[in-house]
Amino acid sequence: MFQIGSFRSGGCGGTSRRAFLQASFGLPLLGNSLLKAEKQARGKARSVILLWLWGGPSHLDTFDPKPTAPATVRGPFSTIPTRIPGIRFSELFPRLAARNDRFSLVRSNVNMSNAHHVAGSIALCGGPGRGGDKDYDPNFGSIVQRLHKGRQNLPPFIAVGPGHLNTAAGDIKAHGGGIWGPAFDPFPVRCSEMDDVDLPSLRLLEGQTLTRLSDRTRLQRELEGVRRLDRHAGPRQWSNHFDRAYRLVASEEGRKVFDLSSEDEQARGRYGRTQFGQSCLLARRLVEAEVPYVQVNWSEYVENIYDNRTDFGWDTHWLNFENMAERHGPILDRSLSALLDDLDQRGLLDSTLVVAMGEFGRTPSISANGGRDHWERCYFSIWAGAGIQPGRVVGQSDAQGNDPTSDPVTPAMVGTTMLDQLGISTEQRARLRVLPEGKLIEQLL
Amino acid sequence: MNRVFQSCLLVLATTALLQVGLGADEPIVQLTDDGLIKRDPCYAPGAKSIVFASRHRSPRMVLLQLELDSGKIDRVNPKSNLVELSPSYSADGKLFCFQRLTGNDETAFIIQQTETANVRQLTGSRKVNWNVRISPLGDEVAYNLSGQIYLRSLKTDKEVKLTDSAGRNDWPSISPDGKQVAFSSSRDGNYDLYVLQRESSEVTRLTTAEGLDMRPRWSPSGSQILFTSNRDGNYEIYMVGTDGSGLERLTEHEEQDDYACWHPDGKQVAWVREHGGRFDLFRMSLPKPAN
Repeated sequence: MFQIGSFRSGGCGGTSRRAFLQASFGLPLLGNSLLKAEKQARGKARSVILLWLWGGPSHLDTFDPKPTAPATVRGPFSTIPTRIPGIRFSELFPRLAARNDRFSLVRSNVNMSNAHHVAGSIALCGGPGRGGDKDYDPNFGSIVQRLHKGRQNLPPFIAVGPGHLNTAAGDIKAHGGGIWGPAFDPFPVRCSEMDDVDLPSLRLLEGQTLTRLSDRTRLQRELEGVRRLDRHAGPRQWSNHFDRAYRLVASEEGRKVFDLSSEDEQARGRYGRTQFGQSCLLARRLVEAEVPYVQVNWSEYVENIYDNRTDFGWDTHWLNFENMAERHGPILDRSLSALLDDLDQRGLLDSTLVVAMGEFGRTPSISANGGRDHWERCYFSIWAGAGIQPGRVVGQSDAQGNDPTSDPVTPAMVGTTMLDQLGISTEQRARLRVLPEGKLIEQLL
Repeated sequence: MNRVFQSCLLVLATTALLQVGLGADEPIVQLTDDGLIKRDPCYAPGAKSIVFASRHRSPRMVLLQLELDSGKIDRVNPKSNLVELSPSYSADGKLFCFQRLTGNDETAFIIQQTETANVRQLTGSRKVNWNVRISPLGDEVAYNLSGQIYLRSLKTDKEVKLTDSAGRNDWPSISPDGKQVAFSSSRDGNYDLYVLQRESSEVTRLTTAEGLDMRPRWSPSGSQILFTSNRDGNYEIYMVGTDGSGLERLTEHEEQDDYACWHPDGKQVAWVREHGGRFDLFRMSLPKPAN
């Protein structure tokens, strides 16, 4: 059943740009092929699904384990073989280990800040803010939205998750339009374990009938008095969200695509009855309906334990190993595996680029608190689907996962590769003045 | 075969699967059906109900109590809006212990007298104490702090660091006589089960398999330990003697089985099973009671 309304939208240091550039350009195996600029976009993808692992997953406890490192680094988890000879994952990911011949792994992502809201913004828009921690370029999805010429009933950039991305230190700045303004923010959608999908922009339309909804003027007037309840949305953004939401509920297609109850129980179960699992299922439905950019947010807050919530982000300063074994590992393993299987079985994987990543990794050394802290110098990302050569491992990290020893991959390269696969060319990016470096992760392609 | 007959066969087959998990003598019974994430079940005094943590009717993980006869589920602390985890009772049922998240990276242990409802809160200062368990004798609590096991006396409030090893130590469980503590440790590589004799500080390793052996639980009689392991590919429930002998796998299921707890009679086990992506409480009778 499609439900209208009921949506709930809800301290660390940094690294210098210079250090980041050194990390990016000072490594021995950084060849021209990796940084080759592309004029013609490849355009293999119709849609992108970004699984945003907010908070920064540990690379050592997931997909870049270091079983021969000291106990203070390797952690307590065993490693398991994968479908690719010589490549091992943490034991928490048996399903993905059985499928890594269908996706590729980057073990050499680098960011330029170890503060969530800064690193998160950089990871989602490709570079640092133009005026410090502000004036960020638009999110990759906002660029897609701006250039989208396809069907208009569904918003072209949809963020699925528990709410607006936050940290205890404040909001993430580049969650949406950035310097282009809130008109290019994602259309937010909430998905829960068991319940219906909710649309925040229509929160106050509870009880509205479709007949009343058809009176657009009246509806707009009613909404005007209450839009301030969405504390993250200014007038333009609200209007924009309203327009998109109105188009959505007024169209049969819009109502259908968000109706997870039309999926059979087995299908819902394969993804896992978790918020993230059901969000991944909704993402599949959205790309099936030709939405070009879907960002699935793991959590609203980065924090693993925060302010009385059980949001359980990936920021595991405390309880890294407890929550990795209990929640994060099994949930990601199940949901991402189900998404890849489902897209593949429906013939959608060839036209959908799936990327899973966070804003950084976590310290190789286990902290005195028994967790791992922020680590922007080396982390992982997973790539599958349209245009991606499966079964590859791009980049290596050193013996303890401190730094890449080859092929560092910057957030700009992540964004450029995503957009390139969607057919957004160097010229188009240049006209919009975004992602000027225009470098692809060639080894993935 | 007509459709009605096919449906009847399907129902019969499903019922048989639900009831007969390990064989005709060890039926498996599903206790809840809401499918929401659950953890940490434990039998309440008298074994007429099970207390567990779940997101039931709340965005937060809270403690719930399932009445086994009626199937009714209620909040344990209906007025609380804080996250609650890790419930446990003393063997005589007089003390109830659980954990609350009290703020940003802060936790507290709540000790409640079940007869008077008097509550005592043990707090840490920006320390995340985790996986608390009250001792069966009701005189102390055991927990994990930064990867080491600690005991805290409920009489003197004195805290003792029980482990000081390499790797991680977690999921403590105190034996019924209070003389031993079972826990998981990665001191030798990956998580295995260990038992520490408190008087001599001698530590015995109970398991050596590759993979994650976690959440040990002493049987009421003190002769067996339940635990979760992924040694066969995914999380399953196992049982082992307290000397490491007689390892037995109790579940065989393609999704997760975890958080096993003992019925006070030592003849049954309740646990959280993931089935079709849903999480529910199940109960099984043991092939041989743990005496």
